[in-house]
Amino acid sequence: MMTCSWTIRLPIRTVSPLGSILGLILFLGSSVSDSAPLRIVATIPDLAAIASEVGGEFVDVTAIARGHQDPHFVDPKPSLVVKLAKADALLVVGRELEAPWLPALLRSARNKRILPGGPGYVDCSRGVRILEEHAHDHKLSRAEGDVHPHGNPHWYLDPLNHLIASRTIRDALRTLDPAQADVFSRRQDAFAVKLKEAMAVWDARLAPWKHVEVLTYHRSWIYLADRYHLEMAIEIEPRPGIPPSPGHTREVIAAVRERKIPLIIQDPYYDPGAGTEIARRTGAAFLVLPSMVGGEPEIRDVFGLFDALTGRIAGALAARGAPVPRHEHDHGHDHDHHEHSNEREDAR
Amino acid sequence: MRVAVLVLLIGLLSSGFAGSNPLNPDLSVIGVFGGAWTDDAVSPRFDGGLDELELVVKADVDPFLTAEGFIAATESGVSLEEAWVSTLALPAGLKATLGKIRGTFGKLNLSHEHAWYAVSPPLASSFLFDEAVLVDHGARLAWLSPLPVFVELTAEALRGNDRVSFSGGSVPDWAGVGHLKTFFELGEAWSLELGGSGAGGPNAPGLRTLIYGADLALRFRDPRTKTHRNVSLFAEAVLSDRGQLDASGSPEIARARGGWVLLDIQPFRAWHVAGRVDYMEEPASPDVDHHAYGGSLSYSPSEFSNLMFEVRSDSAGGTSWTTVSGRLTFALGPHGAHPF
Repeated sequence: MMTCSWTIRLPIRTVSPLGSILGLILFLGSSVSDSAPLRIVATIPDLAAIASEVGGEFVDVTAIARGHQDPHFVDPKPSLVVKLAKADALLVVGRELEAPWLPALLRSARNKRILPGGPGYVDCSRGVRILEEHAHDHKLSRAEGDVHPHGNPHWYLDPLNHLIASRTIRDALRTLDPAQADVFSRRQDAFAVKLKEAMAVWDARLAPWKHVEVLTYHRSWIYLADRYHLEMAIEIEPRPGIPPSPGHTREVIAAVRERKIPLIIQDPYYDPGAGTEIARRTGAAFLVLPSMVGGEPEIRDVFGLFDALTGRIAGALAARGAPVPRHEHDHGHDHDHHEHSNEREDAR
Repeated sequence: MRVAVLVLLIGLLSSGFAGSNPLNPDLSVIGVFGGAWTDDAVSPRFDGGLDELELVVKADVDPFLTAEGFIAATESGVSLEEAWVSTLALPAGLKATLGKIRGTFGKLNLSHEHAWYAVSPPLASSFLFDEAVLVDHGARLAWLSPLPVFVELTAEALRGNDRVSFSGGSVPDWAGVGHLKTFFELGEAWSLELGGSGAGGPNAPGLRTLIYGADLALRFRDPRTKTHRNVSLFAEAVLSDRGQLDASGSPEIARARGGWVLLDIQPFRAWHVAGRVDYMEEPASPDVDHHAYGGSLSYSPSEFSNLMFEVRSDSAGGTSWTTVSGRLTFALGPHGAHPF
């Protein structure tokens, strides 16, 4: 029988009979065993993939949302309560991405380890650069759509943030299983080296397309656009969480023609109807791209995800011809910001 | 006037809570406008207006307890709908709740009215519980089994204030409710929930009501489906054994059966179409049976508002009538998920 969640299962270490007995005692006492892998539940597959990279064989990782699923709207199934009740750690995206469904699950799980403030509750947005964060005195209105008061939560679409999240997860694993602290540090170091090498490739791949404007369905792509200096001015949905009406779609078509936008990007879990129509009417390329690990069956980790994203975007833009940057001379500040951000990361 | 008082209360609370302190409770307001037309000769032909304005306050008390409160303003007054404090992490899979709570009887009783797939309640709920909902002061203990599938056993002690099935507060005695809930995932998209319920308590001195129930929820919700096309089937069956006095003054048991089946189809992201078939024998007069069938159409422009229309046909005792009703629901502020 298949389960709702996407599971990464790794080999369990050989356990001695004495260890088994002690483990059983500790298990019955609902505490973390020295001999069993840590049971990690991540709200999205990207965090599960990072935890697997850092934890290796010492973690048993499960993701709640699937890679092709809208992480804003996960059904709070009772089966998820069972997983959370047994978890040693819960990795969350934070910034209220999971606010519509996770609190109800946590209250039902009866697991104090993973409640906010508990040793196993890991907010992976800690330390990442959050975009579209509202000032504390900014009054928000639902008339703006389904806005997130604490900033855009789709930070996992910037590969640099995976690096930062891997450090947060490493620190959490070290706390939960101090005996393997060195292992977690070594594995995180190796992940960081591999990711930085890959990021250089991805940066180079999209470098020719700086300041090219793209149309997206939802503002989930703002982190990817920010990382690779793509411009996002309008979206297919009129407000976050509000599907486009025919009238709004016509306005978007006019804007795409007027601004000569060459590319439309959409998450796999939104209705492609409007995007298809806009592409047909304007000649823009339309890409339904995986926005999380597991968004397509062959995308199993962050490397596969950003390889696919940068490769397909670069390929689509190349097929449209020479880049048409918008307001290139106005982006000196953005260049400085990105470079400063990367330098800061390299120094850590 | 009472609605105005609640609006003022909401305003005061909002001004104090909004953005002033991150530790303040979540505060939300749910408004329900309703209207119904019926050709029933007894009931008014048309009635409508603001059904309810509900203030919801919720927060974790500390690392051990969480609390929620629901205060409703209607034309008949301001009332405490629910208010409870619940444990967050008792050992051994236990969870305790104390307060004014919805009885864990069946599937529908735990859902707030604005989350129903129909405007009107099923006959079984209407005939068995006051205002179609079993809600009472009491305590609940729920145990989550350590099995790899979801199995939860719930026991409740309620004050027995339900005026329809229990003593209605006239006799100081308690009612008990028990529920077993199981949930199975049948692949990525399908799921099956099965439950069994029992409730019992005095309805008058020396007389008791026992109600048994079974509930089912079969869902198809494919996360791969880009257009959110989903199908859900819900069903509940009830059996009521009501102790009462016969014409000669001798105690007797009146056994009434009932139930309903509802099929909900979500053809597009914002739309739901549902149909429900109802049957219930009157608990105090099982010879009189009621039938109803109806359909509803709902539209949600966002996750914070919903417009629903329902057409329902009822028949009982040789007469029949039709009701057309509508409901507009809106939610202000944070509003978490309803139970799956």
